Amino acid sequence: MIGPVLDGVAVVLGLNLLLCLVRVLGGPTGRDRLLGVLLTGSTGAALLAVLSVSTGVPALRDAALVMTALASVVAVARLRAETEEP
Amino acid sequence: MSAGLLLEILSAVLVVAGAGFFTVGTVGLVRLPDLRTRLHALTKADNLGLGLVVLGLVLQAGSVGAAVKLLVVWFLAMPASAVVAHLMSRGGGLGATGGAAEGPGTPGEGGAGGR
Amino acid sequence: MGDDPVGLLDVLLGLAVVGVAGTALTARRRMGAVVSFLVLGVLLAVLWSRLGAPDVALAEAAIGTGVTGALFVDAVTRGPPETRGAPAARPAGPVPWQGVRAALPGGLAAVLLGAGLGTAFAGAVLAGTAPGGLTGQVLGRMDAAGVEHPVSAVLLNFRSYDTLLEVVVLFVAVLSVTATLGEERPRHAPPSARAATLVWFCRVLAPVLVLVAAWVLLAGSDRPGGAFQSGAVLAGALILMDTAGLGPGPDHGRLLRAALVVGPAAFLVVAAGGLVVEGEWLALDPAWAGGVIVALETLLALSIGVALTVVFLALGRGRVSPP
Repeated sequence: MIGPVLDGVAVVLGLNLLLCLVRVLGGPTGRDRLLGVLLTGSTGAALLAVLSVSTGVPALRDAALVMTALASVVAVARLRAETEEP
Repeated sequence: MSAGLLLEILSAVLVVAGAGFFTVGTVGLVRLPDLRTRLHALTKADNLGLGLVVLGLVLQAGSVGAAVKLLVVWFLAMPASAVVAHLMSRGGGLGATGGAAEGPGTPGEGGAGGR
Repeated sequence: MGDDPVGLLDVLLGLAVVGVAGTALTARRRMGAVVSFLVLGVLLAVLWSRLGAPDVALAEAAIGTGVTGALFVDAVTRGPPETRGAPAARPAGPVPWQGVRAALPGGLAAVLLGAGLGTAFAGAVLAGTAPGGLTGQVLGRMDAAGVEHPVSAVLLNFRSYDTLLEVVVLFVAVLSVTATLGEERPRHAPPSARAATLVWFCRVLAPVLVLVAAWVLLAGSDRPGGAFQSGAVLAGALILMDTAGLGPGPDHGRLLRAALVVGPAAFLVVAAGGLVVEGEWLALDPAWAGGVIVALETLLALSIGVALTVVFLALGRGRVSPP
């Protein structure tokens, strides 16, 4: 009974992923674009978690974990690069 | 009503609510006018959206290990998004003194590139 | 999983992947292109999961979203300021045709390459149509493999030569980067010039990433995981440590070099050992295969992590573009 609900939620999260592109392509500053990608990462992690339960593949939880952890690394890379001279 | 069915309904409600918060966050990211207001939207999606989805999935997880791993994802994303939001909202450089607000929505970019 | 009917999500993902790839190539701003590429990585990870390939999804999440993402973002933020307002190289007039003519050879090459690769893949799939196909052949040999996960068995036992060459390629890349860029003094702001919050955050998060890397490595024996994914997460941890001021400094040269070499060296030792013991390069006695593979994967993960970190740091040291 929860299967179709999870599938529906997966579609909604997928649409959210695409909506983030607006900010990615349009956000006037680099930081805005970074926000877009961070939200994409969180939404992607949630989507992978939902898929891991609805399709019963435990490795997708690992993928969600890895994606969450490394999204922080991307943010840190941007923040540290901003403080340094080109 | 069996406990299993009740659990499923609860999961469904939580997951749908989480997806709802994600949508609110994404719409906020797209529609709000300024970096700092967008940061608000991002943190809502990361905390509440991800949290509710994870809680709903934990109820369906099937093993303690799986449930714990899902919770770890949430507990990792929450402080990360909070700290990143704090750091990104600072204007100017990220010097040790911490640049204060430089005016609404124009965080300076320390590097010359990267627009 | 591949038996599910193609759902709405799959159609959405398929179209989105093509669309986002297009925006990554044509975005006006460099940061926009880079960030589109990262979004593409996330979409691909989800797509791979829908296609029943969790190993590739994990690898895409670790490498595409993670280390490559950090590298690109760092390079773009640090690069020269964009000088495009109106693209100066585009005079009016018959130029659109010139642009198409210039793009034709590249486009033609891409189409031919795609067609060639597609035929090769289709041929490989069809060639294995005897009992169970390629999957059946791998599964039939699993008792000699030493690990329980078929993908790890293929990567580190049946086709270990390919993995060895991949690691060597990474090693060569590190050599090229450090040879051309590594000699300048570090241009990093000293940690005291960085926000205290950022430094604290990195110090707290780095051990968490090391733990995740260890988990991904150990998971590789009976579920998706393995040296490359683990190495990518480890590289993330090392980048965080460097941001916090705990990274490799000028006096760590020997340690870095040792860490870089130990993975490929161990692989070569195993390969030669196979030659000596079994008479065949890279042969693994099934009795030992499990232990050897775990040890090898650990050392490989270390080397891969250090290699990716060195590339990241070296690119921050030298000039990415002329002054």
